[in-house]
Amino acid sequence: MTDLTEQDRIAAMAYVDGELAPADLAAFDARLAHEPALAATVARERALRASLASAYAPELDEPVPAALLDLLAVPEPAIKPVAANDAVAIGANDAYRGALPHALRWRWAEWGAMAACLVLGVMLGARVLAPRTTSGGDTLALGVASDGAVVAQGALRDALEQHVAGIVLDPNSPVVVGLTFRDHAKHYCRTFTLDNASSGIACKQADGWVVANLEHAASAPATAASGNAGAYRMAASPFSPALLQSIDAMREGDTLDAAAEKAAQAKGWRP
Amino acid sequence: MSLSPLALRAEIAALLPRLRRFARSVTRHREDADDLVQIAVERALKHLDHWQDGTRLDSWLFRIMKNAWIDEVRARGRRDEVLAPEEAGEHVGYSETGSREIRLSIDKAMGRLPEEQRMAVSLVLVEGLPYKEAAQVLDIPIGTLTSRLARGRDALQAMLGDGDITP
Repeated sequence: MTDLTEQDRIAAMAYVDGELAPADLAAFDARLAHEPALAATVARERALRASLASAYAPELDEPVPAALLDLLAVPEPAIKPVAANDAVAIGANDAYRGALPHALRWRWAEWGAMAACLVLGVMLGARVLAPRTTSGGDTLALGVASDGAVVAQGALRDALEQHVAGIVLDPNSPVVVGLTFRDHAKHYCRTFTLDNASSGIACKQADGWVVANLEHAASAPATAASGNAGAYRMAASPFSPALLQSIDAMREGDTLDAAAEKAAQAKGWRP
Repeated sequence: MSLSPLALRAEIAALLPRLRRFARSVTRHREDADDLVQIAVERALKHLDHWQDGTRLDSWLFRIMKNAWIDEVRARGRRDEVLAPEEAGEHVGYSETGSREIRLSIDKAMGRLPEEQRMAVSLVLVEGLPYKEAAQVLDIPIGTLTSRLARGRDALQAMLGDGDITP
């Protein structure tokens, strides 16, 4: 190392850091082959870089203090007691449940407590979206299509249709759309979160965006002030391991990149 | 077009472990580090509109943190008493028995670096930032960054003993 000029010293470091200009790379590689001092410096730099990275890696696994997470929690939106009756009616209605398509029903069952989950989702959607929407008939995030499928409405539907590659068109939208993929029937499916508090998967079918999975951030009942603890978790990781698993089970092929999302959107998300 | 404030908050939350790690490297004190992260996140939330879509959010936050450190936290003077989680009695999992000692000696060596070298080393070698990003975080030209990096690395090599630090 002591034999090297300052210039070579910096070059060896840049080489290890992947910062050497592409034009200089081949020449540097050639020199390494027959300049032992240079090669030794590169080896030392490499070892140091690896040591530092691994020495400080465990810090990333330490739990983050609640005080810091508090800063990033999303304030509870004003709660408006709407649609509670509708929600209960939907969740408790066995006939409705029986009308769910088979595959969908199986997934709800897999999630367990399908009715509770659905009620929660509808109430949450109503609570989150109602204050922000104006038209009377379109205040819920979720509705029921004529064939009984659970479909996205309002801001959720708009977001699923319009958002591409993580870009949110309306900064006030409570909906964040995440990954897009195709299911085994070639339908386009997208993950979403509502106000960082509930998340799910919706697939575009003839009826619209049919919601296949829905979960609240906290498994606590909707009535409790479940927002805070749930919001933290959602903020740190928008989708639960269970939801990510169902994506893997549902998807055919890889998730779409930005260009593929744009192309699919241009075709109206039709398979 | 930009990320919604909600999405940005989620992104920042996801960065918290890295922000804390960099803050510890800067402050050399665990509580100061969390204070620094808190101040930086508060500033970031107040000025979310200053973040430019298409630029790195982590660099932006590191830079806010560096400025906050210079502006206010450093003045408090609760420093140089840090260190490794083990010393603070916390459990951190290690797969190999030797890595704890290696980690401690590396951290000790880092603590002896002058602050400006330590920040450069931290940003590039620990946080993995490209030179250009690290230079922007520190508000210095790239040439200054590379020379701080080289001096910091030489000092670390000298303290740790050449060739004896392979993980």
